[in-house]
Amino acid sequence: MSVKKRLFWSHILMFALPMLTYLLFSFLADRLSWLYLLQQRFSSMADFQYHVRLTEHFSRWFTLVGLALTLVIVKRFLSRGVLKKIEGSLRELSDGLRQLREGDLSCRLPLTEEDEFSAVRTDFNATAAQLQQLVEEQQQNDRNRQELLAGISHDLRSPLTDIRAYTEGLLDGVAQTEDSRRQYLTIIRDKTRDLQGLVNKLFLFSRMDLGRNEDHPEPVTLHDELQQLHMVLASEYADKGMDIAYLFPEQPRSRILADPDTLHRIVTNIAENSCKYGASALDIALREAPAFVSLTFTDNGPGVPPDSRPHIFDAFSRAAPARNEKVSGSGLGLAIVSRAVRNMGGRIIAKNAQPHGLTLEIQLPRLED
Amino acid sequence: MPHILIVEDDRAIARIEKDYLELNGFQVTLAEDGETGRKLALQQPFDLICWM
Repeated sequence: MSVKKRLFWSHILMFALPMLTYLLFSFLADRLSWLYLLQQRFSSMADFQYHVRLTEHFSRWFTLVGLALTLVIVKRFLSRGVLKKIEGSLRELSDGLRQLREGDLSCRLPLTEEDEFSAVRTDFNATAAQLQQLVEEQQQNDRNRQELLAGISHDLRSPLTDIRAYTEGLLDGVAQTEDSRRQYLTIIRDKTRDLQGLVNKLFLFSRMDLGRNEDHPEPVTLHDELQQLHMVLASEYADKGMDIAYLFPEQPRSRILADPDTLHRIVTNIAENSCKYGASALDIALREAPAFVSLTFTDNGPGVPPDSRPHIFDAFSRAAPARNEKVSGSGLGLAIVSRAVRNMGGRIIAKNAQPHGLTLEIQLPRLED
Repeated sequence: MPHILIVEDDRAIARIEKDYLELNGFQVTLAEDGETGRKLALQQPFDLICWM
């Protein structure tokens, strides 16, 4: 019951109960007086009048005292009823606040009763929910950062170990023929190149993460850019055992606002990712809608398990079963792609292809013709 | 000549380990993963197995 209702009823009772008691007590006093008078033997008229006055006095005081007692009791009783409600609600609130302060952010107040405190309770719950969300996001960020650090150190360490081992091998004279010395040097060069690529990606990624967008966007005809890119990448990846096909509609002429370098990076990173996970074919499909263009990359690799799909755009995430030494690379490729797409005002969606493989769909806002 | 089996998934590291050991007069067989290593170890006797 709300405080208002309680007050209303307490006022009614505060009035009604003393009334009833007054009636009850005067009735009782009357009865008692009669009983008393009936038991007396009166010697004279004056004696009778004296006793009548006595009973009148008695009735007056009896009723008065009864009324006073009732008032005191009723008041105590009723104010407690109202106060208990207020105190109870305040205690509930302060208990909730204490729980929050002690770190139990899942604490919520029950919203069963509709009263003066409902609004406060609703606000309390909303604030607690917000706080909980903020703290969880913060914790997730911390975890990501830790994983980022662990990923960076791991990915820097293994090529460094290789470089050191092969350099020492050369110094120790392990490579005894000119041919094997060349092989050693080639390995050192390749590992250094890997390292450099990783550091470049890391640099780019951290700048993007800080929100420094260094794109120089210009209107480009997407089809022309993609055709060029496809030519370069198709021959490069044919050597690595992956066929890249480019499918486009008739008379593609959509233009978008993009930095050609960034566009290049997006396509290269996706191709690199597919190849890394052992896909043997990658289809790039361009579709044009009135307001946007859609670029779909579909490979025939292992795809991504549904539970890790939300994380494939996180830095240093590698699909769990594939996270081993054979899949090299930083896990930065797709993180860079998703940030670049976002910087261009577009969006990227990942889903699994049939029967197996990964499909990435990028939608970019289209410029008016 | 003592025969050593090295199970190591980092090819570059496996290769240089092999070169070092062969230079020092050991015969070395490489396995890239545990399963291959297990099969090799069951097929023939090795003097030492290094499981990385």
